[in-house]
Amino acid sequence: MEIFKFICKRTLWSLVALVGLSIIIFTLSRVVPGDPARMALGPRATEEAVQALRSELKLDQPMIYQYFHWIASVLRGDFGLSLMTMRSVTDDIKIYLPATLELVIVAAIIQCVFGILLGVLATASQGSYMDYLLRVVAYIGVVTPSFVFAVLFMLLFGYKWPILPVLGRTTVEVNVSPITGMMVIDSIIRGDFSTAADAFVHLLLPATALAMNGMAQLARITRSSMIDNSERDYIVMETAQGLSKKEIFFKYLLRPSVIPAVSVLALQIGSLFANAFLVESIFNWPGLSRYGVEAMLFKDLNAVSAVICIVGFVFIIANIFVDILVAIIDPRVRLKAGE
Amino acid sequence: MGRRAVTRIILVTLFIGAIFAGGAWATVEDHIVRFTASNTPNIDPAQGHDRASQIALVNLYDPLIFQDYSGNLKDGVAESWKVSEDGLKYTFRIRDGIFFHNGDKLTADDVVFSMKRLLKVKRGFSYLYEGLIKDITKSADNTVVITLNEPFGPFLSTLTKFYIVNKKQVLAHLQEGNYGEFKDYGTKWLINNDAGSGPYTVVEMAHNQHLRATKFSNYWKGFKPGNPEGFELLAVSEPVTIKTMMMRKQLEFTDEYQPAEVYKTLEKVKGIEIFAISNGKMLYLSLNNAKAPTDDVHFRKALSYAIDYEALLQIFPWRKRAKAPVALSLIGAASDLPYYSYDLETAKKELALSKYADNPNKYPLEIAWVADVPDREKLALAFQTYFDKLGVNVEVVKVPWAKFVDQASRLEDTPHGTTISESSHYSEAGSLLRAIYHSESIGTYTNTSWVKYPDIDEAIDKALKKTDIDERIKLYHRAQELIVKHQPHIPIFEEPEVHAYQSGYLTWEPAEIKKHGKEIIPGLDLLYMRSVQFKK
Repeated sequence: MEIFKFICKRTLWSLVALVGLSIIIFTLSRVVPGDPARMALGPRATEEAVQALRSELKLDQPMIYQYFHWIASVLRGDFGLSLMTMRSVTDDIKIYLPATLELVIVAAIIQCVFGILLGVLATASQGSYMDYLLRVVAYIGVVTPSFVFAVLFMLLFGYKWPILPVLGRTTVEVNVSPITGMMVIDSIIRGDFSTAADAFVHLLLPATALAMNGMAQLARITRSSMIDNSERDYIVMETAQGLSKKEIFFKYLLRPSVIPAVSVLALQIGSLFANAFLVESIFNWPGLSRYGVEAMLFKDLNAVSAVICIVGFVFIIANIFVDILVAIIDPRVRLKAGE
Repeated sequence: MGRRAVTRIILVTLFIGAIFAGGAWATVEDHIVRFTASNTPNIDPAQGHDRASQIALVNLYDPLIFQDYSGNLKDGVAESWKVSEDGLKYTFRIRDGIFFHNGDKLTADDVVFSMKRLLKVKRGFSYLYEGLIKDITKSADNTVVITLNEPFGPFLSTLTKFYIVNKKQVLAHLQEGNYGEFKDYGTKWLINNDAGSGPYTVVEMAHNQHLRATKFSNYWKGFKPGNPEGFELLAVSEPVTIKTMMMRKQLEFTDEYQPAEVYKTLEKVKGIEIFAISNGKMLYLSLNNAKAPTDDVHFRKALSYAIDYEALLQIFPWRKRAKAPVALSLIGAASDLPYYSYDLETAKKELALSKYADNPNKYPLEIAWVADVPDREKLALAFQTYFDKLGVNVEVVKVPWAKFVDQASRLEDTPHGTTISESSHYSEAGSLLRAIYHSESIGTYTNTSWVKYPDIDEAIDKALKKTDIDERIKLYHRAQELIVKHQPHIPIFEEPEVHAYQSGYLTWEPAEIKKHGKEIIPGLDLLYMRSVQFKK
């Protein structure tokens, strides 16, 4: 029951946040200098043609009218026309969002699994050379942006030892209509394991490059959290009761120690979307982040607003999911939420 | 079977599958040419106009008039043409035996439909014809007549950008839209499919990823041995990715927007050559002639003499020094004019003649560079150094492209100077003269002068109205003399189109022409696939 109340509360606040986000994004994208119609048609287009496009996009209407017209369309699932691709933004998003989601999900899994694993390993070998080495590696990981890893991976595995694919989502052409739009999952559903494997291998470099930063951060958080918790009274009590070190470590120390890491993971989802742009550009990954940045440079208002709203929406969903996860792991959060 | 065993089996299957996964869509052995562009093209001839779209269109469609690399107008959909005495009526005889990719025969109806569609949709290259074409009609089964509102000398050259679509096929794919009985005029369908008769036909258009096209075996002009079996345009712009792909032979041509470092690295790789050619593009310091101190002609001339053009060529390789107001590769460019070169003494003399001679530093110059082209910062900083020698203070400002286009539409917001490059959209000097120096372009990013020069306008207008090419060239010359006199902007250099390409296994017509010491007339896209051949 507490959990249900907690989810309701979080969802309500998320809706308020989404409305606020839509107003901010809509206003910001319209006040930035530059005429989107002129940008789309090119500098040599006649004024008449530019005016016609402005009118088609309702840019000649007052801002408040534009906002309500836009929000009404969005609620119908129509994000308008993209000036960059000259297609419906909704159609574009259907293609690009699954590609980025696939990348971000795999990156999140990599950073979660390996980040926590490295943190545990560092704690288990606290004070040893392994611990020092892992800490140094974690520092490097934290301070190095994802695109540097992407470039490094591209040069190492694309040129020096060309053992992994460095471009696109698949080597083979996939000419079937998408189910989820995520290549690996779709191929597995269809029973096409060869394509699934190909798509998975294509994910390895971009997802790892994207995950490196967060992975290092999670490793550091897990380590410090585990060291803190290891000095708590209940651990001393368990030790006094004669439980084995292994049992205490995995059963009583690990679970409360990963809570901060899981909470940080929610914030990491947002930065994964943000960092995905450069990684997508380097690995020619046809994702939403790259589409969004190109739309910004092109001043494609509908596309920019749609991308930011969707990323905001995904970010909020990820936050709710992580909050629920934390509530499940940590009974204290559940009780507090109930109050 | 336990969970662990199942997981292991799945992982092993995935990796074995990956190892044996099918080959790429294209390899060198497939004779597919792969090249990069900063974006995927818009392949609708009534919408596409950017660089990527131009490459795609010339390979997927046939233009009414085709221009080869020597500037000859021949081998297009129009077999021949006649121009009326007054230069207002063009009668085109449509070639027999041209078939669209779906097997339909190309007729005069398709030509009329394509132009009407272009003028109605008002996008793409429609700006070349809007206000100019009064009417287009079919006068016989194989004849089309175009009537102009006023004579326009380079009209035939502009028709190299007029691509013919299959009327029947477009009408069969209409969707909801704003064009009355023509609904959306096929605009939605044509951004993913082609209705052309060109040498290649679309296999797959994946936005933000690639355009794949394959040879159209019934192409009326046929193919030379070794012409590509298809091409793949990849929307990749990251230098490190492009470098890696070239080195792995996963790419045959780079786009022309790579930093000089990329070309310099690739130049050292065996089997890769760099090809740079002036293709009618000009880089100039666009000046605001209505603001002090650039409102003074002597001040502008002083700035022109203060720039060390030769030194700039060391920083920006493959460029050619500007020796006329327009690129010398264009027909009608004046190559015999006494032109501005670095001469600090003359610069100081000119400054002394200006009304700002006493205190030039009282009016700091704002020089903007467009943030989307990082190399331009170096150029702006170089200007700062050069103008400092005259005692002129320069403030270098970084401006995003969208903001600059907006600023250029208002006099008070237009900076004193901005580094701009502009391409010709047909092969004559008139194209750049009109875009950069004619008062009709004031308020657009190509002309930030904000001052009308009636003598320049008159000379350009007169030239463009002449249907006789020799007369036109004479008048282009006159216009350029006047431009040098007023110096509204400072041309810096001819911007080349630079590509790295796999010369080890490719022969490329433009590169061969250049190797034989001949010049290319801008017009036909360099990445026209019929100009590429795989070596045996």
